Amino acid sequence: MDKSKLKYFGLGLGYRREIRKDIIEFLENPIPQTLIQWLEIVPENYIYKGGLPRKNFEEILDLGVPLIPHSVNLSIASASRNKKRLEFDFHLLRGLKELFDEIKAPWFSDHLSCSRIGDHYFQELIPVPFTKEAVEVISNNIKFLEDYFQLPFLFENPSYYSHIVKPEMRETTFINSILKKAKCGLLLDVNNVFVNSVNHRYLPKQFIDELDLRRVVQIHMAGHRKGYKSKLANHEIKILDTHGENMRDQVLDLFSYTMKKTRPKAVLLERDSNFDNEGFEGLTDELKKLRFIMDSKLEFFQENQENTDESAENSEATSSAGAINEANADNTRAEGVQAQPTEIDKEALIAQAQASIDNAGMDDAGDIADVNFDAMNLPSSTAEAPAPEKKEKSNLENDIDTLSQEFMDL
Amino acid sequence: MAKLYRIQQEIKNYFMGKKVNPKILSPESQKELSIYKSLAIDSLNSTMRKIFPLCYKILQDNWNPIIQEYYETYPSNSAIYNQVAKSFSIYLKDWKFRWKYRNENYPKWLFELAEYEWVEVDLFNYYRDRKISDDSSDSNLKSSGELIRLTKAHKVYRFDYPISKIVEHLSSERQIYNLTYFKKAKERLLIFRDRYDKIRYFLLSDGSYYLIDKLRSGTNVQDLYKKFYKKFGITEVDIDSTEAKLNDLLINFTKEGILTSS
Repeated sequence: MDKSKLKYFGLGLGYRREIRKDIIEFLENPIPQTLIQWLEIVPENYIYKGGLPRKNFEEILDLGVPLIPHSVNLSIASASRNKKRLEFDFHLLRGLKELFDEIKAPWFSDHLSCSRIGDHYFQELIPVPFTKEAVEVISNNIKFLEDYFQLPFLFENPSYYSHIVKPEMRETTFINSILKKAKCGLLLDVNNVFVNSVNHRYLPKQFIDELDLRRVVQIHMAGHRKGYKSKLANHEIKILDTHGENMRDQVLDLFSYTMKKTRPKAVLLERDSNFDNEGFEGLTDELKKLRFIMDSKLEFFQENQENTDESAENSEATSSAGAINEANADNTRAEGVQAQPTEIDKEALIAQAQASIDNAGMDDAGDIADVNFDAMNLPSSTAEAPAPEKKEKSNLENDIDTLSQEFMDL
Repeated sequence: MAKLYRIQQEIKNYFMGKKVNPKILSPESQKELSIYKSLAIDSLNSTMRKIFPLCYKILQDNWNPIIQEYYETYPSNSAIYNQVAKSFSIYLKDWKFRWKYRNENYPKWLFELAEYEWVEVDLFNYYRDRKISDDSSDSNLKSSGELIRLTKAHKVYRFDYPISKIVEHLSSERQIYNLTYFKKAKERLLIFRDRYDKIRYFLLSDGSYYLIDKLRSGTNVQDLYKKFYKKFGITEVDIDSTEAKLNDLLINFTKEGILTSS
């Protein structure tokens, strides 16, 4: 994928039938606007469909606004028994191909997860283990899909709530390894980074720094909500990626931080539910926030970051995030602990820790103080996986512990 | 690729409520996975309530466990989300369901009701073929000699119970009375999507069922009428009045937007 050859689309909104009329009314207004420059659709909702869904789809198509597909069921992390890649559902692929041609899709995307096992679709984005084998399978799957559709593919970093099996590498290493091997693009979901950083206790900006940002083609922004308890077991998570709330300030801050470092071709506001809360006006207010950040960071980006983004796409980068990530990929460690910066910016850590607490809507700071970093992200889920090594706390971990205690004392 | 494949097979077993190999997927991992399964069932629950509002009225108290069991035993094999509801009537008809909930005295027509409710949604998945003239007064079907047939957006069902009456009763705001009130009475329904994309049905008599059956595969009007007269023994005396009735029926079908010409 050559990012420099992809068209720039700007700011967009996820099309959902609940806001169909509002979107049409908004886009039919002849006054030039930069809030909804394109729409993202879930293509599985429109394949092999007639009747009202098709009529509604054609109505959107007739608006002439670019449509970009974002799939949910390609299941790029699924493995087959005897093949190096998944045996794809060709009924699905044929339907999608027809639709991609019809909307002249510039690229297509899906989540870095598994939704289909064998012949069954489980209607959920099941997490994938961060293993070398998974890197291999996913890369093969992506190569096959790009070849089939003859379009660039982007995968989205998902929100995940647990490690099903013990990770062999860090998430950033995992993502970068796939980007390198499959030569595809990244759909960076900034809200997912934030949600994961709270649920798995890492520093979101550090996570962003570690990614190969040259490959970020699209960005997703969304809201989340506090906590979710499994109805099937005694298990709960701190925050849930719902796409049903307004974006939190901390996520906007992370977006702003990211936009200083990369220039995506498209930015999207995702909203799947709670449309009635503040009406469509509420959504346009959200879009205005993104537009403001995009405009202000664009100038900054153009002045300062040109060497670290698409201008370096096809070169052998030896500095910045790219080099760091290559090094990480070569030195994959099995501890599963998240990013560890070499220099500690204490003020930033305090701000981020505070932000995590505020944003997650926790009742108090007790959760922070109770964290056992030795156990962090390390479920011993398979018999094959060796037991996690007991390791000393790093400087960063000690610092976060100290900061957490300070919050408690306050 | 074997290890990832094996792990995913165990995840599948977990999602389908089957026995899981703890050596591959530890109890701790299963607990972690419960979040995903729970989220998936929540989402399915809300979808199924929208697709089967009348079944929900009947199953209300046991709805949640029923949806979980349905999710586990009938996972979807389609990437199109709504198709997940396709097998609900089969699940309700299965002896395991009937045995498990035998004390609830659920009506015997429950699975037929589910079938009807599913068809209402499924008909939206069908493309509409080219319609014949919207203006029925212009449609001189008999003289055109064109092949006519039903659009794809229809289904013909033969129910053992009076589903049309049951649907009407349950859809009303009236309180649901004794559900066993509805006795066995065979009913044939043509369920279709009309020209305004509303789902409607026709109750089919023997005669109209015969017509529909012929129209499904395509026929011209002259042949259709001849076959009809022969099948039902229409004599010369009755031909004029019968033909008038048949014309009215076809014009009604045309008005509803369910006939197409080739």
